Amino acid sequence: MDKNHDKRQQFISNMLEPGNECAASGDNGHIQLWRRLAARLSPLIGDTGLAALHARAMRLVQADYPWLPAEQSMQSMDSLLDHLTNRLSSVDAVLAAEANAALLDTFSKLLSSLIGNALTVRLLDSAWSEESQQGNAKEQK
Amino acid sequence: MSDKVSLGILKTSVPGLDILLGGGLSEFSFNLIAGAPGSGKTTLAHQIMFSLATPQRRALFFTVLGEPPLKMLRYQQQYSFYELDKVGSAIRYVNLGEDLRSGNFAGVLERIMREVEDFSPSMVFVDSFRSVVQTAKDGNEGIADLQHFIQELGTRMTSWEATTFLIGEYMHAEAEANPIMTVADGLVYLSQHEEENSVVRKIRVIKMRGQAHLAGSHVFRITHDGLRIYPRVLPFIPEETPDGGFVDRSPVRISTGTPQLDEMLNGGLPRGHAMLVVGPSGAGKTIFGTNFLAEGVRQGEKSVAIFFEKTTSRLRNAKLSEMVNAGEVCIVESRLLDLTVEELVDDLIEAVRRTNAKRVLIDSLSEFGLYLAPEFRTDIRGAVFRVLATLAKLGVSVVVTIGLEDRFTDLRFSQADISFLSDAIVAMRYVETEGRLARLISVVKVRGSAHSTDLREFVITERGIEIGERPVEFEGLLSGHPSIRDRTR
Repeated sequence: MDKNHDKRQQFISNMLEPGNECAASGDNGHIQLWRRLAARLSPLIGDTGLAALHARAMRLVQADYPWLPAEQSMQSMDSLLDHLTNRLSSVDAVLAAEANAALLDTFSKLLSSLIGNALTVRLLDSAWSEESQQGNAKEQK
Repeated sequence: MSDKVSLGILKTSVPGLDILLGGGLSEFSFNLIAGAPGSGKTTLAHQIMFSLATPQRRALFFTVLGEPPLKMLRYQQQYSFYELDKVGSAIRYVNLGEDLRSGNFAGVLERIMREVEDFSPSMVFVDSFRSVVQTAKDGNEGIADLQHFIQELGTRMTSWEATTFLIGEYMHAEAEANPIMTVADGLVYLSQHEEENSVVRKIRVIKMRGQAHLAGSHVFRITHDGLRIYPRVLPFIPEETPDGGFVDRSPVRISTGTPQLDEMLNGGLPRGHAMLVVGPSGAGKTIFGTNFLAEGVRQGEKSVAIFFEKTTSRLRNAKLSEMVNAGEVCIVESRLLDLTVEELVDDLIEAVRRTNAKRVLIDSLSEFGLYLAPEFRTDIRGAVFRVLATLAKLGVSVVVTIGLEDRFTDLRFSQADISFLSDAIVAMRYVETEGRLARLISVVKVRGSAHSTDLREFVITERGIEIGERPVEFEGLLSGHPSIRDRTR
């Protein structure tokens, strides 16, 4: 299997591991991951592209988690994430974590089928690593 | 010492582009890359961006309402220049689609500036700028807004010391691209020309302020490595001098591989000369050419050969095969039937420089036209001039064969006056003598040198071409009515 493919899954597993800051903070943690991802991807592929991918991922994981919201890809990313938060908080924490992991995996798999594993891993890394949170405001000319 | 401002030049590393630009891109310039859809604008912009971007010289690429960013990332990755490591650290993509939807130029400008201040880029790309322009409201007010926006963008980017590229879909850049045309420092226009099912891509630098750019249209191809431009110029030779320079009055002669012909040439072909070998089908031109290469091998010289005859004639040439397999001869070959002269010349230069070849065989010019894109077929003379002039500048000795139908009373050496472009001409032809078809050879011309004027008979043997020691015993051979020479006269 492609090592980048493993790396992508590894990233998601690491972020969801108990002990990780995001996983530890429960439902907010799940959404925090999505918000960071959205903040990184939205300027790159546009809000529309991001929402379309998210809605498609949601549709795919719904077969296993029918209680997840039936999304409309025309909605904004903010509203999609609000719906997701509501649904995740309405079920058992273990089940919510499992569903969110499946959703992240499917979403990133879709992204990598479009732009390649290497770039996807790079984007996940920059979205979730601490450095990306610090911005890039320093002028280096 | 002059205290004029000196323009920093950015070498784009896009093959051939820097020659057209007059050395490279002027730093902090405001440029428009224009062309119809599919002409290669986004690819050119990406190639320039990936070549120049580093973590210290960052690039910001704004996508607007043209190609969806997901697709652009997907397809541009297929090119060899797309270095993933640069994405994020040296290159940032930003989608402006949402900002533009409001149609408010001030909002778009504000967003661009926010991103520029955040990422501190040295290069800014906006793709496609046409979609920005199209959001301008109709009427004078809309146009005034747009003009103000472009001027403002140009000024801000220059003050930010960013070299800017607007990428726009314009079929006729000069007429359509106003008011950008007025503000832009540089305008590069890409186009595709279709004729008889062949498409030739062309690039033209319409404007490049402050630089002596190369005018006119130049052809390019898009390959896995991106754009490759073929400027219409002869190769630069460092030791060249514009004055008369040293003239070698007794140039080194090289053997053609046919000893008796060397004798007729007064000691061989002067090194660096291009010799045209003219003759009808089956006269022995390819055999002569193969011997020319084989002689090079004997002298320890590498050669380059280009064949326009059908591939089988080359594949069945065992002697040539051996030389190719031994790495002594490099074959330049094209499977494309829409070649441009510049591509051919470029391939030849590359092969000659890579192998340090001293000899080149072109076999044969009669079929050359069949490989060329239609628009180049009409000017075969110009095409041959560019090929031979390039090879002359490289200092290699050349044998060019050309097939001509035998018209017995008509002494012709080439089509389209190509023979005037060569330094030496050897003519082969058939004649009927005493009930058999005999082959004759003669040296018609050697520039700056005396040579034999004999008409001699030759035969093709296993050793190659064997020429008789003396002129033929007949007169009037070229008139089609030969008679035995009267020795008593």
